[in-house]
Amino acid sequence: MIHVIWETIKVQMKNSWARPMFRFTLVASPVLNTVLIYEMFLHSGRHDATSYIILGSGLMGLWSSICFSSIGDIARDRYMGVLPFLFTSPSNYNLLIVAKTIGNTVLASLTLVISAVTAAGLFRLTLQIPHPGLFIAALLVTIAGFIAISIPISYLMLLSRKTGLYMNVLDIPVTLLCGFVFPLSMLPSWTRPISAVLVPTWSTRLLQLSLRITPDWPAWRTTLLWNGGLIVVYVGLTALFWRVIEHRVRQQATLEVNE
Amino acid sequence: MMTTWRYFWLQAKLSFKSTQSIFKPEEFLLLDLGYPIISMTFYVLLAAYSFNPATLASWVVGNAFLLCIHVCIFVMGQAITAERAQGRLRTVITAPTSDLQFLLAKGFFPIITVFITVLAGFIIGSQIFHIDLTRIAWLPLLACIFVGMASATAFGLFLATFSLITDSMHFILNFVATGLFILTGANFPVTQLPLFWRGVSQLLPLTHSIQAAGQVTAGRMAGVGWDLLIEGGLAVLYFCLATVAIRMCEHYARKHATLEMF
Amino acid sequence: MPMIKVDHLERDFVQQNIHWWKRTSTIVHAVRDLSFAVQPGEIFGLLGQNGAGKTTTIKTLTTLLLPTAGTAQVNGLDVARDYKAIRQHINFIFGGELGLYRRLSARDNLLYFGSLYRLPLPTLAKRADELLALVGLDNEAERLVETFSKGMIQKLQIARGLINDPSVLFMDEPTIGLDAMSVQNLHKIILQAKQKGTTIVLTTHYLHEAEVLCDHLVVIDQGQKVAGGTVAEVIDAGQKQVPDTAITSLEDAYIALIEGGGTHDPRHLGNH
Ligand SMILES: Nc1ncnc2c1ncn2[C@@H]1O[C@H](COP(=O)(O)OP(=O)(O)OP(=O)(O)O)[C@@H](O)[C@H]1O
Ligand SMILES: [Mg+2]
Repeated sequence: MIHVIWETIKVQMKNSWARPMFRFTLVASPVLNTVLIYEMFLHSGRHDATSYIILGSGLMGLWSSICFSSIGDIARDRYMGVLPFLFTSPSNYNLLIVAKTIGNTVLASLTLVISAVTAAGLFRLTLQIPHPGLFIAALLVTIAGFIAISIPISYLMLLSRKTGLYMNVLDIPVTLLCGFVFPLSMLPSWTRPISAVLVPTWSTRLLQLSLRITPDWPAWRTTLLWNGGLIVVYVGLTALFWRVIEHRVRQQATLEVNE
Repeated sequence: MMTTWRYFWLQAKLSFKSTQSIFKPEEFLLLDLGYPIISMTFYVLLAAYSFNPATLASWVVGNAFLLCIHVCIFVMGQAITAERAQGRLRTVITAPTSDLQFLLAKGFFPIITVFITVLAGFIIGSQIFHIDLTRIAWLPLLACIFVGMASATAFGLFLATFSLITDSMHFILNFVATGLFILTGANFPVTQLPLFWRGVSQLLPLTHSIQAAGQVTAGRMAGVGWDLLIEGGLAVLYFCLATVAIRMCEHYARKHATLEMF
Repeated sequence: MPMIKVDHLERDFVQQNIHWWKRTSTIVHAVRDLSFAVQPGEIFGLLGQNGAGKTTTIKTLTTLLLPTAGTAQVNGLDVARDYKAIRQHINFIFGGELGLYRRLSARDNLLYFGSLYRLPLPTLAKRADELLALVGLDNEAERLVETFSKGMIQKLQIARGLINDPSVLFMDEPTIGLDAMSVQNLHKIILQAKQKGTTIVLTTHYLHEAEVLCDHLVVIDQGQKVAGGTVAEVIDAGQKQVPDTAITSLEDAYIALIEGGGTHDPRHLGNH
């Protein structure tokens, strides 16, 4: 079984890379976002500008790659008419979705590197990382969190024929609500609870914490707890959807295209 | 002349109808109302944090204009791809109606709908970010939106012809759409750009109309007429380019059949 | 004067093959030295195996593809040069489910395509309704095409093909996916159109259909003509291939011709 997952991850990374659109969201989009956000912060004089430019545009890219790859995969499979075959084939489609998502997310983390390279290459802007160990730990938690959130969303897509629609609609709201490029204090207070249940909010905070010169341990602890707790919740949701969807899909015939 | 106009009207109406699905409230709320407002809010908030300006009016205007990208760039830009994928392009091309008329008819209703979207976006955005609407000269503002939408639609149709020679339309359209966020001056002044890109921005749709609309909302009229004239010129230019491009592509496709065009 | 005159027509395709790291291209001769003529008002059949070059021939005649060599004329007009003028007088139907606006009703589809052909506006709606009745879709006129079955779509394709009252109608496998009754009905429509003087060129894999409908036909194999003439003449030609067996149907003759036709050179001519 591990073997099947590993193979799917590999195939998925290869397939995704072969698609021009994936390369766009992976390469071109973070480059352009970095440029846009750099220009917007150019005269801001904010001390956190660099971290928003580099990490923020990287995270934006990471999230949109996930929207267009993991979530979009189902739309594509449906559009090409292969979804019914995948679903009825003896290999477990659930497992395939999990494996695909892991493959995509790992590949998509490249956006973070690309943002950093763009900022350095075009604008001579580099991120000061005082504690590389902590930063890498935060990065790993971030990737785990992004994987955890995209799996249940992928499942939800199976329920709807309008996958393409949601795929586009999920991109910006998450960027807005999770504070990728500006602090959440910019948002009205009623959005706080929504931000709080989205794990990328806490991943972003963890990354920002890891850039502090003197680590703020209590903040680390709470943020890590939130990350871990939410990941567990998402895994639970995945298991729940796993059961429900199997049944609903057949009942409502959402496997075929209806564009 | 009269009959041409009536054919045009029929074609415009049916083209538009063919892109519409049955009205679904949740889809409308999500796609036509919710998403545009959220994305506009995102960029205006980003500006509020990074520029910390006294008024956000110019960002609200600029980002309201950018709301047309979904229809003008993505829907229009895939107009020909869709015709081809659905196997209708061969009939469309062999019918005696000119390619230009076909494209104009396709663009007609979208221009009107994005006009309304942009206007609504501006008004809603103004409410969210507390912008005083009482002192605005509406007629010039409507003119700015209309001309801007015409040139963005024409630009989208021009991009659509690329689909006859490449299969990476999604890529191109996304690239262009993000480019418009950077280059049209909606989110930061074009004067911040390097010289070459400043030149490019002058040839892109929306730059001039956003500039003009920014002036109008600030209660000034200097340069507005000139900007609108250039924007209108770009609209004509892109429509013509689209027509020429589709003819050239047609010949190429007949010769090489590499495009699986028909 | 013949309505269609095909003279030593050739059409090549360059096919890209992607190997691990290098890209090679092969030239495929889809149509080779093909000549035939179609008289005004007749039904003319193109027969051949999958990949024989039938669709390619039709696409060339309908001005969708340029000939690589040779010439073809429709109504005395050259397909390469006078394509604009030809387009006024022809229409075509390709089998399959593509070619219509799925989000429009059957009637709106006809109105739209009719307007592209600049049919007089006052009669456009009437013409659409007549055609819908002709193909038996009058009760489905207002339904969206996306809710149609395969056969219903095919019927609508036929109505679309007749919208401009073409003097030459090309049909590429028009009966694909139709039920037995609808096939009968389509045959009736084809014969009616013939009576009105329409010239019809059709391809089909149902040899019985060709036998019933076609005044003349050609059998193409690997882009080349292997036999041509009336049904009786083609049966004769088949008989010549296998003198020992008695050939009575077009089907037998066709098989004999294709099986005996393996004498010519291979079509894929090396790398490029
Ligand atoms: N656009 C193209 N590019 C490359 N090769 C092509 C192209 N179109 C057709 N061919 C090749 O030309 C040959 C003839 O194809 P064509 O479609 O004319 O066959 P056909 O007689 O219509 O077959 P069928 O009965 O299957 O419809 C085939 O070998 C096909 O692979
Ligand atoms: Mg064919």
